[in-house]
Amino acid sequence: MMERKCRLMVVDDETIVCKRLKQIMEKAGYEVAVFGDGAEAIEVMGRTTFDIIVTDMRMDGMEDGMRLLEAAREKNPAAKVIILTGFAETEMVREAFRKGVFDVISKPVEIDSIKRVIGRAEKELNASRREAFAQV
Amino acid sequence: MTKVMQKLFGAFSTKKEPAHDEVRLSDVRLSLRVVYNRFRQMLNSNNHALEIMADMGNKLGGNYIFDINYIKKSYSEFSDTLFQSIYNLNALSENKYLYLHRVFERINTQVNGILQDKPPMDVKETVMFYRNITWEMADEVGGKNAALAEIGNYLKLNIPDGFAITAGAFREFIEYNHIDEKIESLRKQYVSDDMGIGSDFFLRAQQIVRNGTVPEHMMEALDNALTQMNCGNGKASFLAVRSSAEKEDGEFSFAGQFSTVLNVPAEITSLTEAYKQVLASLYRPEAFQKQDHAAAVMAMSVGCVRMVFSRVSGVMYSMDPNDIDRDVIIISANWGLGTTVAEGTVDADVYVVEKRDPYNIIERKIGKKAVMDVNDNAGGTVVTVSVSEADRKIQCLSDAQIKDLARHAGIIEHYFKKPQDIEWSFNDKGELFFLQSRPLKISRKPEKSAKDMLFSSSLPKYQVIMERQGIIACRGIGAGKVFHLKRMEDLKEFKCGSVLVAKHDSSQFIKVMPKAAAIITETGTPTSHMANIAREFRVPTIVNAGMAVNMLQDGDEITVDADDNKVYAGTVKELLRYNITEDINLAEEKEFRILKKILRYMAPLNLTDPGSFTAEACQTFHDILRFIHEKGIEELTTNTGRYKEILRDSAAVRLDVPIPVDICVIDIGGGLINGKAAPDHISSIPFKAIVEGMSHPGIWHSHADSIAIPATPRRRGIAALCYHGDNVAVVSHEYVNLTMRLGNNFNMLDCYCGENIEDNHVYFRFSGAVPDYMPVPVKNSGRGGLIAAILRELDMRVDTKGGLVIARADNISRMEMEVLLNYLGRLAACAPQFDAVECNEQTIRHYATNFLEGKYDLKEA
Repeated sequence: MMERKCRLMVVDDETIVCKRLKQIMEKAGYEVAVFGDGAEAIEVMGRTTFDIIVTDMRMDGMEDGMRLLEAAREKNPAAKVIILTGFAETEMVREAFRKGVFDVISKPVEIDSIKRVIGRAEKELNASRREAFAQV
Repeated sequence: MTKVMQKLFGAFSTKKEPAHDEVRLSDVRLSLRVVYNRFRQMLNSNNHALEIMADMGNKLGGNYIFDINYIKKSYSEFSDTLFQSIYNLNALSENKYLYLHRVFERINTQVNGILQDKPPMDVKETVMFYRNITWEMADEVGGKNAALAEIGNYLKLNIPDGFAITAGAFREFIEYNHIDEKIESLRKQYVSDDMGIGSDFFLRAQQIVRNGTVPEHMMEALDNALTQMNCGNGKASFLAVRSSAEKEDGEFSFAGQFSTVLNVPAEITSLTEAYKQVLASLYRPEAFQKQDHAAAVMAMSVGCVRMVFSRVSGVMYSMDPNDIDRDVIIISANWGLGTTVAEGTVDADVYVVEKRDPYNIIERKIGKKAVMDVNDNAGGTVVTVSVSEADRKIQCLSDAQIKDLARHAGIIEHYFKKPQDIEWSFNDKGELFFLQSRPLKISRKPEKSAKDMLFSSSLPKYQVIMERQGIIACRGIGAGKVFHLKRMEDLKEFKCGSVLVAKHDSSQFIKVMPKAAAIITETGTPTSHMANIAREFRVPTIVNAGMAVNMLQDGDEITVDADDNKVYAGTVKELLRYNITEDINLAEEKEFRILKKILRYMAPLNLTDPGSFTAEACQTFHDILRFIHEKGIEELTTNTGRYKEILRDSAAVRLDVPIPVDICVIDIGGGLINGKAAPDHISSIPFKAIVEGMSHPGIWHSHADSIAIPATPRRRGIAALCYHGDNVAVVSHEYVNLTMRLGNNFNMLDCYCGENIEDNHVYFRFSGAVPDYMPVPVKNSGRGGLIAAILRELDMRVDTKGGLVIARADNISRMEMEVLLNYLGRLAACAPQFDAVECNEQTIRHYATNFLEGKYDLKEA
């Protein structure tokens, strides 16, 4: 069981998305850190462990989300990654799932629905932790 | 070539070309098939545009996370669709409404300007009087002016009379005097001479502004404004001239960094000098460094208000900024003008008051109050004088005044939804004036954050009365006593800070929105007009909330959490505290501001009376859509003069239902089965419901033996009602537009009714010429009154003008709509016999009740 609050990383170059997700998820009991660009987020990822990562796919025109996803696999392998995108092209979505994202959500997104997805990710995370704990 | 023409030609050439037919606009006569197709296309593009607009409006409620890309994408789709609609109407009408393109282009330019963050170009006024300033003008008059005007206009509290010199005037002044260029060249000179941008630069920059000339027509406007202010006031007047910059008191705080010039003689030379002095303060070093771009971009509006002859003035905080857990209001006061208190140059009186009725004063500190500022009698300056020994020792406010101030602090905080820092003044007659209100900066968060407290064990102790029972129309948290609205007239009983609980939503709620803590309605949708207004006023609102009226008792204290869609019994302090300390204020976020501004050019509907529609009168995109809809139908039925042709055409058939009215039914798609208009062949949902209503047992019979209709040679019973002319129903599966003349009554009904609640609407217009055998006037309005009474009983929004009755309803489910249409069908059939009844308040009630109970013969009351 997770004693501490669930730690959420939000990466989006649109400030409003970061701000609002922080506000909403903190009210829902999460600890939230926000980043305006992928590089900074990847750097922090090496030092801090996050449980759930919500990231934009394209930041400043770059496919930063995909790079972030790869970095997360390496540095925060247990983290559930959720892609938030305004341009959900099929190929990109497929690629993201191949790389093991938990879910892909298109913007604009209803608050309840993103909360639900994050909630599901947290539940899965807890279940796998419990399982790992039982095995130990 | 103008943009309009380019677009038009573009429309004929590639992307915009409608694929449905090959007929050119120059063809004199379109085939009916083509006419129908174009009409249908017009309806489709219209509906699609309305959907996009509703979707954009919906986003303002705070339920979605969106960014600027969403706004740009949606708007681009909307404008393409609307353009298509205009094209379709012109294709249908053989280019009768080309002017609409010009209207479209004008609004489109404004919106694109907003999307690119350019200042609005359509505001030409130099001055705006506070009494005329509404919330949508904040950009033009600055935040401080807008807030003061809101206190006066929405909260109806006393503010000194005055006007704002707009941001548009500022831009004109800057441009007229080439100030940007001059300052830029000054800056370059300093940089190249390696002098550094120091205080000398700023002094010279300020001098450039002060040396500017106010353009002549601005002078005239200012002069006129002064004349208006002095109207009927014999004595000399003085003004306070203060900054109200675009971003002042908003995201960035420039508090105290721009100039205020007090006691300015109300004549043109002094005013313009003071005006320039305030503008020059944009180039004060502290202010300039805070601006992330050139000063000309941050437009400076200026407020000019009549000086109050202040006996006592001061500042009050609607909350203790250092300890939000104390529910108190803090008031600082001194004799004379408020400057000594605002600038902290005097040891003022400080009163701490409980933030609830009866506003007990729990602390009072009598300051030394050695000096005070007063208006210099000659004007032009403010002088500091000694306070008499006697006055130093006493409270400068009476207890009653302290309590009165505290009560007002609550009202103002309530309206702005955040703690406020308010400037006020009592004049020599003891009248209270509010001079300014801005968000209070909370300097220290409580040790245990409000957020943490939410998750501690305290919250579960509150009883949840409703959870996820409705749809959030505007997020936020509010608490207060339940106010059950039974009749619209009761709105005037609404008390500030109450929670409005009503069965249906109504745009009339605007009357109490500035005072409402929250709104809950049993029906309605987040895209209704009411919901839009609630979002404008930031009132937490839950709609479609089931049995709210039964579950929430009148007078009970409740807390509405329209973030999490919950209603608690009692006041949940933790939530309210959380709400107040929340860093993010949606209304102030850039994306919300842009979306809100754009929607003001899109959503308001000014065309309401179809009889007087003109393309020139269209002010918004919604107006254009409404115009297109109305004219499209007109084209299809009357204007083209092709009614008879339509009748002959196989697509138009006579209604085959045993009622004594001829109706020509034109199916534009899915409205009839196999082209027949017998009862079991009508597949148009709304038309079927109307026809069922018109076929209701007894409804036509009542005409024949109605005791009140006198027999005349011209009109005998049923036969007289048949009218072979203008009765046309244009139908599709989910749509009907019915124009019908029965006896002397003209009915127009326009309805969309499908599975999607948000698309559903009905517009019913009833007008009647009084039969010439009737003794005229009273009957006419009386009959209108009876019809209006019935329509109101059916929960429609009703407007009456003499014999004209217009009723509307929208955002209701298909089932509710079918019931309503059934009644409207009955009413249309029944209305001719109302010509004959004597209507007064009593009989109206009697006949209306009878009608609704299915008794159609007009027995005397």
